[in-house]
Order: sequence, then C-alpha cells, then structure tokens
Amino acid sequence: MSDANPDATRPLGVVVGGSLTKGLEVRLDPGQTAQLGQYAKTEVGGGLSILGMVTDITLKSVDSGPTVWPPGEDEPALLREVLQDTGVYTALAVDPYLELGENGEEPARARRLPSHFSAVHPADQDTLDRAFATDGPNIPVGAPLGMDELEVGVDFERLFERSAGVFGKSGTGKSVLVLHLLDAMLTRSTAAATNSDRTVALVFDMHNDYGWEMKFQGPSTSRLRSLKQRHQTDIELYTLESRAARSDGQILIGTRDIQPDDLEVLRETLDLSDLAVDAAHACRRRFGPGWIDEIIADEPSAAVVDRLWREPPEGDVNWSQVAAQMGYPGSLESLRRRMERLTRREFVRTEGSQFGDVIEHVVRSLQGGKSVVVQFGRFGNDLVSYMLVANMLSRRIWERYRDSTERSEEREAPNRLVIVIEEAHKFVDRSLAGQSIFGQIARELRKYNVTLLVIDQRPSQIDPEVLSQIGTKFTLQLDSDNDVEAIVGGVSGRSGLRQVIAALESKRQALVFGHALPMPVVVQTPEATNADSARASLRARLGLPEREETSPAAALFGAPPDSTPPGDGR
Amino acid sequence: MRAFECAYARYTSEPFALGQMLVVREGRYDTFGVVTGSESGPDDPSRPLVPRGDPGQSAAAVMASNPEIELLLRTTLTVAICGHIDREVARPVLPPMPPPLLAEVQAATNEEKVRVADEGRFLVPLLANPAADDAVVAAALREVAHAAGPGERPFLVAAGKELARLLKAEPSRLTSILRAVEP
Repeated sequence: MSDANPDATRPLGVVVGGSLTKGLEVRLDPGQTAQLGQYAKTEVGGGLSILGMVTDITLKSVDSGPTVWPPGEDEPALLREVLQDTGVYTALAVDPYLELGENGEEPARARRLPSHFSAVHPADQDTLDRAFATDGPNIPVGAPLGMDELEVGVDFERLFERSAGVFGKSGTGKSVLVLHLLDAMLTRSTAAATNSDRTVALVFDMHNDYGWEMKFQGPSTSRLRSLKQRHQTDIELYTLESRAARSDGQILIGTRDIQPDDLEVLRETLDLSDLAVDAAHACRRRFGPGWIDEIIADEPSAAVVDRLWREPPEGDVNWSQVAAQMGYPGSLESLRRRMERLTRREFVRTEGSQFGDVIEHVVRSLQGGKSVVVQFGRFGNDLVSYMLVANMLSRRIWERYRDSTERSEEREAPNRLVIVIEEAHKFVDRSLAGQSIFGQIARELRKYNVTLLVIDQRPSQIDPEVLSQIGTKFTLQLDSDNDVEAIVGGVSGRSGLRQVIAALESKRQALVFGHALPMPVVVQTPEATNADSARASLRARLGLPEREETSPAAALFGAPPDSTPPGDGR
Repeated sequence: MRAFECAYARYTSEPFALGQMLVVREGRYDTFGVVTGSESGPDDPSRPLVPRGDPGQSAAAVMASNPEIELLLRTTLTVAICGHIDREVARPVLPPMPPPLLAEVQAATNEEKVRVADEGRFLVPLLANPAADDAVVAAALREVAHAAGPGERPFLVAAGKELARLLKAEPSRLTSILRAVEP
C-alpha cells in the first residue's frame, strides 16, 4: 500500500481501460500515490461523475523489455528514472460504484463508464457529502483512507433497521468501534420524542466493556468512559455477580427456568451429545419443570420412580436403572454430570424460578426507552454462562417483542431493539443457526423490531444464511482467507473488496459496506477518547444540539421508579 | 529535407563536434540540426592525399611545413535536421523547406538549443534520420543538457522519457544510449 496522496488537487491519473464489471484501469500520474480503499472520481459527461474505490494497485510494464532486462544496481540512475512511468508504470484498479449528478439527484449505481484518458481525481468532501447524503441523522464512522480531513457517516436509520456486524481479529479495535456506534445510538435515542421512537440496545457484555468503563491500550488514556457514564439515566447495568460494583441488578436463573430448548445452543460448548439433549427433553416431559433439580439429586426421588414404573423394582433405585428405564443408558448420566456443573454457577439457583422477574424488568426497561447492559464479570471467560444467559434472555425478550408487535394494531408498536452479542459464531454456526434465536432474529430482519449487532472474530464460522442477512458490515483486519471470503461472499465487486480487506492495517482501519451505505468505504475508525469535543461533534452529526439537556429530575434521581430492577445487587 | 551538408572553406582539425546543434539563420526559418558525421579529404578525388612528413613528425608540423595541403583539402559535415524556429516559435519538427544553399551554418546558442530540444521532442525528427546512431543521439542529449545549466538533470530525465517512448520496441538501444549519456 502506498503512502497517503501528497497532492489531493492534482489528478491521480487517467483512465486507460476497464469495464463496468471488472472496474476501471487508471494509469497513475508520475509523482502521485494512491492507497487501497481510497476514493476516486471521474467525469462521464452530462454533469455526471463516477465515484469509485481503488481496489488494487499493480506495477506494470509496457512491454517485456524492462522486466526481462531490469536496470541493475550498477546502471546509471538516469536509466531507472527514465523507465519510471514510461517503460514501467503503476496502474490502479478502480471499481466504479456511484453515479453522482450535479443537481442533488439521488446517487445511483454506476451504469456508465468515463471515456479513455479521463482524468481521475481523489474524491473531495463535496463529492462524499453528495454520495453519503442521508435524509436523517448519520453516525460518523471515520475518515476515508488518504483523506484525513474528511469524514464519512452511515445512515442512522438504515444501520439499525437491519442487523449489523463488526468483524475483526483480536486487538483491531472492534470494541471501541462498537462503543462508538452504541454511544451514537443512545445519544440519538435520548433525544427522541417518545419511547417508541427510541432505539435501545440489549448488550451481552462479555468483557465488561460497555458498562461503566472500557479498558484499552491507547496513546492517551487506558480507561474510556463507557455507556453508563455517558448516558447515566438511559442505561441499566445488570451483572451475573452478586456483589458487583455499580450494578443495577443481578441476573438470576432458576433451574426451573431452563428448558431443554435452551440447551440446544450449548450442545458444543457443554459437550452434549444429541442423545443427551433428547434425554433432557424426555426428562422435562416426565418430571415437569423441576426436571433439572430431579436429575442432579444424588438418588432418584420417589416422584421420579413413580413416573417411570407402575411397580417400582425392589430395593433402592439408582440412576443407572432410571437411565435404562428411560432408554438413555449413558446419555442420562452424561446429562446429569453436565447439569450438575451448570448449576454450580452462582447465578443459577436450584429449586426455583427467578428468571420471570428478570425478564419482566428488562423488558420494562427496554420498552421504556432504556438500554440494558448485561455484564458477565468473572463469567466473561466462561462461554457456557455467556451463551446460556444470552440465549435465554434473548429468546424470551424476543418473544415479548413479537407479541407486542403482533398486538400493535391494538396498542403502540414497541420501540426498536438491537441485541448486541459477542462471539456470535458460537450462537449461529452452521449446525445451530436453525435452532438459535439469533439465527431467527437475523433471518426475520426487522419484522418484530428486533435486530442484531454481532461482534465476531471468525465470520467464516457463522452460518452463511445468517451472515447474508447482516445488513451492514464493519470489517477490521482478518487473518484467515476463509473469514475474508465469508464477509464478501455474494457482494458485488467482491474480488476488489477481498483485496481491500487483506490490506487493512492491524488497528482502527475498517471496510464498511452494506445496507446503511451507498458504497463501500475504508475508514480510519474514530479514536477512543473521553474528550467532550468528540461528543459535541457526534451530537452535531446526529442533528442534535451541542449540549445534552438533562431534566433536573433525571439528573437528581436517575432512573424512573417504575423500572427498578430485581436482584440483590442494587 | 531531413539533412543537409555543410563544408568549411578548407581543412580544419577542429570542426563542429559530433552531436553539436547547429543553426542556419537564413531563409524563412531558422533551421536547426545535429552533426551526425564529419569528413575531411581532397576536393578533387583524382588527387588523393598521399602520406607526407617524417617519422615522429606531428600532423600540425607536417601541415606547417606544407601549407598548400590545407588549400587542397576540405572538411565536410552532415547535419540531421531536428527542428526550426518559425517567427519566434520553436518547433521540434522538420521545417517545410530546406535551408538555402550557401547559407552560413553557425553553432546554436544555449538558449536556442534548449528551446528547440523542447524537453526531448527534438529526438523525434532526429531518430527518424538513419544517420543519427546511438553515439549521435547520446552526444546531442549531453550537449543540450549541458546548455540547460541548472536544468540539466530535469532535461535529461524528460528527454530520456521521450526517448523511452520512441524506443519502446528497442529497450536495449534505449539502455545503451542512456548509458552513453550518463556513464
């Protein structure tokens, strides 16, 4: 990748060939440089210009001479200098994306080509403003490559009306980018006139990034104010730990709350065989809602024995006999061991049903216009806990949203909910996508006003059907070719995008494309900062006054009394 | 039209150099050319030059002791036309007509050389002349570059790129000329 363009006013080069399907070939002017992902524009006549993206840079020679007999080290410097841009030259592949009129017409997909030798210029702010113009507010996502002084925004409404994804390997800046998007979402939602106009988030925060503060490695500060500090009265913090600081409530799950369906997504993580899951369904049918409490007991209870035998066998009945009687020898024992381990977690309470209250309060908060962050604390590295809670909570909340939406002719439709999940491929891999609630949400688009914001390092592990339903993709550096291929699969101009992703830098550089943008863009993502000026700038881009107007009551008392969450952490 | 010949009144041991740019300032145009060859010999081919002098005697000493020889010999130059100036406008192309016979041929000034060479475009008519071999082209480039003073390097690079375009099918020739320009 070349250095940043040194002279934005000079043409990058001239068109020397190309096609609409394969892109333009542009011969780079002497002394100019270009970067992969950089925007370029050229005129096509009739007041129309074409905006495209540099998707490849090639070193070429006009014939085989200079490459067959390249000048050696001992050759005169003049020979090398002369051959540059004559015998050999640099060519850019520019994928044409948009046709822009000069009278404010809506940008259209490029269907024309410029003539040979048309000058190609770096895009300027005016061109980008026309290309990315939105009817409503937009969220700034950074500066296009090589254009540090410019800024691109994504359409707020379109970003969250379908599911979105942030993909990238560890350490590339996914979390800071997600925090930026959520901050923008909450900032905009806070200003909405009614709760139903708000977009709220349910964040399953694996590593405690989106609650009070985010720890990160940056040049200026290592602690970034997170959502709770930025939107104190519009965020509820829940935790799985009983004594967590700054928690608004604890997530508690009773053993009677866990259904066999909830175990389906834990098959791989919990190492459950198909037969073990079948055994769980059988136990639920035979032993009722308290089936987990029954099977984790040391000895089968009298109730279990009564349900399995008309005439109980003589002597004490053991679990081997129960398993054999149910037709799951081996599988039931395996299920018992795993359920026993599952219930050792402090947020899982035996012989009880706790989850209903949690669901009730979370739904009330969400539909009341507040976002909810579930922090996993020390359970953050426990994938079983993360998947269990995220799946159970999401399934039940989605059902509530579905019911509210289906009854919306009688009542007001619920507000828009964005569920944020990390390690998404664990929930929606090829084997689970059909059973996971997250696969269903992604496929149903915005039918029930619930969409996803998935964060993942391994998009190739996500079910392709689910991935294809992700409307807007923020792609940071990825290592594996399979992951890159999964991201661009089915997208027009994917070979160019593949090149662009492969050339992304390891931090804060993202290719953004999809539903919320008229064309792909490579950006330097916003820097992690606590600066007030950044917040003022964000508010301006969102079409809001520079300073937030907090009501005196909210400032004094925080959350309204009707959304007091349950649990013992308050 | 593509070349002309010029001759000194008699033999000279120091004629215009190979590759030097000359000008004829008579006629409708100032016609410019580059020396592609030089030949000295008798005017009358039936009276060939025979060896004179003693062993160890220099050419200058032989000429001094035989002053009539210089009168019987003549130095002739061939010049490949590389451009002209038409009403103050320098054009690195062949003039519409050749320079008049018996017109005086002079060395071009540095300013004229740079104008007519036009960043190497004078190479187009020059290379079209079979007499302009690699040595002539390299010498002409060196000559104009020297005349450009502080603009020597930019001129060489620009003229070299022009040469590269003209010789795109002959990369080895391009290399040998550029080696000769900047050894």
